[in-house]
Amino acid sequence: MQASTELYDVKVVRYFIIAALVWAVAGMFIGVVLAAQLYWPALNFDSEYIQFGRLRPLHTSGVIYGFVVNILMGTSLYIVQRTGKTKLFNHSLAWMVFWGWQLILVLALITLPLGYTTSKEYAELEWPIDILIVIVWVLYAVLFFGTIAKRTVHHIFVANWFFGAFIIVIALIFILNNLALPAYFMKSYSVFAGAQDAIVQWWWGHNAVGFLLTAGIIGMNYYFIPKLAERPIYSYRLSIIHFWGLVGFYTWAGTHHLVYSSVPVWVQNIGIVMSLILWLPSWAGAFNSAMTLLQNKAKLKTDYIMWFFMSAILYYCLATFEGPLLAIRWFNMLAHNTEWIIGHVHSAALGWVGMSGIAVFYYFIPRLWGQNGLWSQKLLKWHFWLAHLGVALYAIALWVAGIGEGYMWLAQQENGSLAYSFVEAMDFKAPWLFVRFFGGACYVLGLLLMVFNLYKTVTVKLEVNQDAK
Amino acid sequence: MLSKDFTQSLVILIVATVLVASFSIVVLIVPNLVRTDEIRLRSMAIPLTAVQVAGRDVYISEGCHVCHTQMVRNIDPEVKRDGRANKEADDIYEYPNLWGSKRTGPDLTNLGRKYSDQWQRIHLMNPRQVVPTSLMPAYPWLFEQVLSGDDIEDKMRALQTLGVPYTDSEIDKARLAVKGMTKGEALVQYLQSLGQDTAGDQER
Repeated sequence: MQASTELYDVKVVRYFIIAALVWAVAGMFIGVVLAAQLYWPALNFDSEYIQFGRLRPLHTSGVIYGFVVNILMGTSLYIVQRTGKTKLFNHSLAWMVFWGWQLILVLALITLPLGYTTSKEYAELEWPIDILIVIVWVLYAVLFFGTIAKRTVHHIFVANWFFGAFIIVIALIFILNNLALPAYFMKSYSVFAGAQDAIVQWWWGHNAVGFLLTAGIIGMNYYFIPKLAERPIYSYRLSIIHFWGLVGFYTWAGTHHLVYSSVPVWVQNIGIVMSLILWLPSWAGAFNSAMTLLQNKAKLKTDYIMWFFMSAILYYCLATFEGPLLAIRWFNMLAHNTEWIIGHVHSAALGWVGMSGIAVFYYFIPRLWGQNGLWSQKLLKWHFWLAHLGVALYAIALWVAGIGEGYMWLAQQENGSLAYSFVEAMDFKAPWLFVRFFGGACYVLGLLLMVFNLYKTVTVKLEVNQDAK
Repeated sequence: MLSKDFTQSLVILIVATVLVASFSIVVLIVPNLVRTDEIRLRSMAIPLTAVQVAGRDVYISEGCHVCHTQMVRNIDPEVKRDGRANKEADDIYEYPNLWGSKRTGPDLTNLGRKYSDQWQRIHLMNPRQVVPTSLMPAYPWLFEQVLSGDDIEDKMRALQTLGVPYTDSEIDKARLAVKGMTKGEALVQYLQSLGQDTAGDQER
């Protein structure tokens, strides 16, 4: 590692990974607060700044732009150097991207609680911050692709295709969705209205999931899973199918968020069909990653970091099966706008993205600081089971709550009158919202164990090393 | 260069990804964006008044759309519960759309005049006074904070540019109409307007 720090730019990678860790804990902690507010409304404290409506975008932005984008920027800038056997394209550019992105996150942290929002889901930040995001994103693209361009090996490694698609598509959809006319500083109106705006919004919304939370994480895993398993990727051909399947079909699927809405029926149907097709490349990719891990059965038996990756893949399978299912009209009629959708998002976000991220933190952070093992395997085990308990409780609670309320909203008596009032459906799900809060809290508690374990790993072993000298 | 593929050439990787990913823009997005005039012809929508615009921006700023939808799907029990189903042409002045994605509270598409102004005020001040098991936060500050009206002309001019048919005299009068109102009063006026323009349309 000592030698490689001179060969590669590693310091900026460390900064990105620490930022990702901080935002993971902060963003998910805010999520637990929100879950508590939905059970104890008094926790809104009659405060303008932390009431649910303003806090929720801070949770989603914190997790997506804080945790996920930071970890993807950090790992992509590391992987692109290692797999291209070259230093970063430009050292100062890397720091501009890092500090630029952290500035954006701090601005989000300030402006969202103050009520500056476009209302567009996962794109709430107002226009001056959007412009800043575009600038930093372009710099990041130049840095990443510039580094690929100066690689000293012939082949572009699989992970970099996925990171490349993540960077390109996010730029494309972010700009189109955020086209807005500023009324004045920090207030703008979308240039699209009503049904047209909704189509653009969900084209963005679903692709943010597709390219940030899926393609980006897949890119990261295509490097770290083989590294950790000490085996090559199971099938190169499958990774090509996985890649073009995702890029080709994902951008079409967003309108499944608008089934039964007032957008044209053909637009809805394209979204439904393409979502069903997406199932295939998703499971092909999951199979590829799972087989890579399974090639080293001996390590899989004892290594809980391997188990975190394996769990992430299984949750990816669940989410990419549940997604197409929810796009089917009958299921959509029942599930649309209910807690089931929140549960679906979180089995992917906590199960797939979260556990992939956790595995990378555990594997990567000790190595970035020149250590080989973890401070405590016992804490790692505790974290593993806490995380699983958390996601399972979360998903089960919201399956019950969501399917229950969806059924109650639609149920009619024989004479055609509605069987339940809205309040009755709300009261039915209340205890399940508590279970969800508890599940989320377990998950965050696990994260805190990880932070403590990694802190000890990095600091204690350093002391031992110094004593040895 | 043409003898290479995307695994060897950065240019091919970038160009191919852009092309493949943007195919959906051409098929799905653009055909809908160019239909504005056609959609407007069928619309019964009436632009919001200055006060209602101010109220709508309070709705956005407080994040009401996070928990309330404004999209009644054309499904029998849903129409029974929430009133007339949305049509494509209803929301032509909705910059941006406020359809939402989660129904933690009820749908608000046709909320207007369902409850009195007084009920809306009490409910916003403390929802649990009228709905004991409500999960909604209380919004007491809305009735303390007063709107200056200084920004309303800029807002309406932006909306006018985008295509809401405000006359210049409407915009000139906007500031005085809004000035001195609390945020809560403006919000209640917006809520009472919801669904009023399409209330006469019974066709499904």
